[in-house]
Order: sequence, then C-alpha cells, then structure tokens
Amino acid sequence: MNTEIRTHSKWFWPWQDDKEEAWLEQMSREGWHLRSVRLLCSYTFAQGPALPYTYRLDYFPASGQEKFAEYAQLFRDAGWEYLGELSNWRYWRKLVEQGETAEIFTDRESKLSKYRRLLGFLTLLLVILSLLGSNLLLNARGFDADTPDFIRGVYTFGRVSYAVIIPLYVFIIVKILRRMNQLKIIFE
Amino acid sequence: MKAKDDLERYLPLTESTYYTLAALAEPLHGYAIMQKVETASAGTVKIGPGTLYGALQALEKEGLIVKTGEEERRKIYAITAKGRQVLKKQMDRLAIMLRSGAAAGLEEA
Repeated sequence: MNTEIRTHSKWFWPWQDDKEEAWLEQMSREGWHLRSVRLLCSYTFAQGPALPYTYRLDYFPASGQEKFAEYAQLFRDAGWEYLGELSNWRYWRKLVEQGETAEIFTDRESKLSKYRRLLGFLTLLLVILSLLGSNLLLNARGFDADTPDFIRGVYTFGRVSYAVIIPLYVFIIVKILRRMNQLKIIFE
Repeated sequence: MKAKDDLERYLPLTESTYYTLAALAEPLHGYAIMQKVETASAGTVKIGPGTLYGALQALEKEGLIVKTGEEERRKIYAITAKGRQVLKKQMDRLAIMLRSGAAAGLEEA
C-alpha cells in the first residue's frame, strides 16, 4: 500500500502546547496522522483513515536512559503511543472513542509540574545566556583604534542578538507563568 | 515528637497519592497501580501515566515507597513503614471529615 506523506511547518510557542495538541487531533480527524517532529517546526504526517486520536505533549528532559525507559513504559502500558521528541517535548497519542479524550496528567499538581520543568530549563538557559552576554559587553570596552572592523562587527552583531534574545526569553517565561496561573484557576 | 510532626508536612495527600499509597500495600508495577486505583476508588479516580510517574518519583524520594524489583522492564514498588504512617494519618483526617459531614445530618455512602 502506498502511503501518502505530507510535511507541514507550523510554529507554536512553548505555552501553546494545548493548541498544538488540538491541531494534531484535527489533522488525525482528517486522516493525517503525525509520524515525526523535526527541528524548525517540521511535522510529517502519513495519510490513513480518519481516527479519533488524543495527542498529548509532555515536557520531559532526558535525564538518563533508565528514567526515560520507566517513564515510557508507564505510558505504553496505559495505551499511549510514543511519536518522538523535539527539544525535550515528548509527543504521545492514544486512540479513544469518538468524542472522548484521554489525559496523561489527571490532576492539577502534575500538570503544573510539566511547566515547572520547562521553566527550570528556560531559566537556566537565560542565566547562562546573560552571563555570556555580560562577558561580551565587558570585553567590548577593550577596543582601541587598532581593533579591526571585522571584530567590531562581530561584537555589534552579538550585542544586537542579545538585545533581542534576552527580552524574548523573559517574554516566554512570563507567558508560561501566565499559562500556569490560568491552569490553577481552571482545574478543580 | 519531632519525627511525628515531620509526617504532617505530607498532609493532606492528593486523592491520586492516597490511592497510590494504599494500592502499594502489595508490591505492584505502574500499570497495575493504575488499574487497582480505578477499581479501589470505584472509578472516581483515574491516574494518567504522567501523573503516576511524578507521584512515584516523589514518593520514592521521600521514602514513602521503595523499589522492590523489576518485571519485564517494569519497576515494582511497595509501601514503606513511613508510607504506612502517612497513610494512617490521612485516614484519621478523612475519618474526622466524615464525622463532620455526619454531624451536618448527611449519611455516608
């Protein structure tokens, strides 16, 4: 049988995981089932019969093969199929009855923990970037008349990048915090 | 006295945690816990795999449960003496809650 394959590019922010799940579910209802997720937001789908899949994303940093094996075994035993990983986001799906959904997190605390893991990682990255960035700015003071334009250019590029990246990180972190706050209100 | 008070910090247990601890009176692997909890709670509590994974990690870290073995790549857990104490404390709390409800003129299920 010839299976038709299609690749889509679509951007989702890290706090839009529920939107991403809904989109994947809609694709499956139209007969396009996720096969893999790759860098640059590239989703590959295979065509088949329309199916009522529930898709769920978990943020689970790979902390050792054994931990992931135990984690994945629990999901598989509960009927979830593993589709792959992209920057620590794990893609899971489960076939459900028409009109039903399944959940990987069944209480508020554990659902919030997912975002806490994500925040932990992003905050660590932000700190590292800030330290590297301040180093870059301090070094720039050492320029004199002999400093080649090329080097000056590199530093300028670096500074402009940081001026964009750092606020973007802060923005993302704030958005995730707001999503967590929203969950606290919705759940229970 | 100190040790006793320390256990209070685990309370109140979430429903998922309470049923998970109670299920581990016998050594079980993850999926068996999910099934047992659903039955024991008469279908009122279903535990998703993400929630259970987090609960097992936390309970083991706090020494309320312990890994006792492995069966076809599935880790088996059982409740510890400390876990039993915490479970008992939660039961006492629940008993108080039930009495309070009864005092309000409502009957137990």
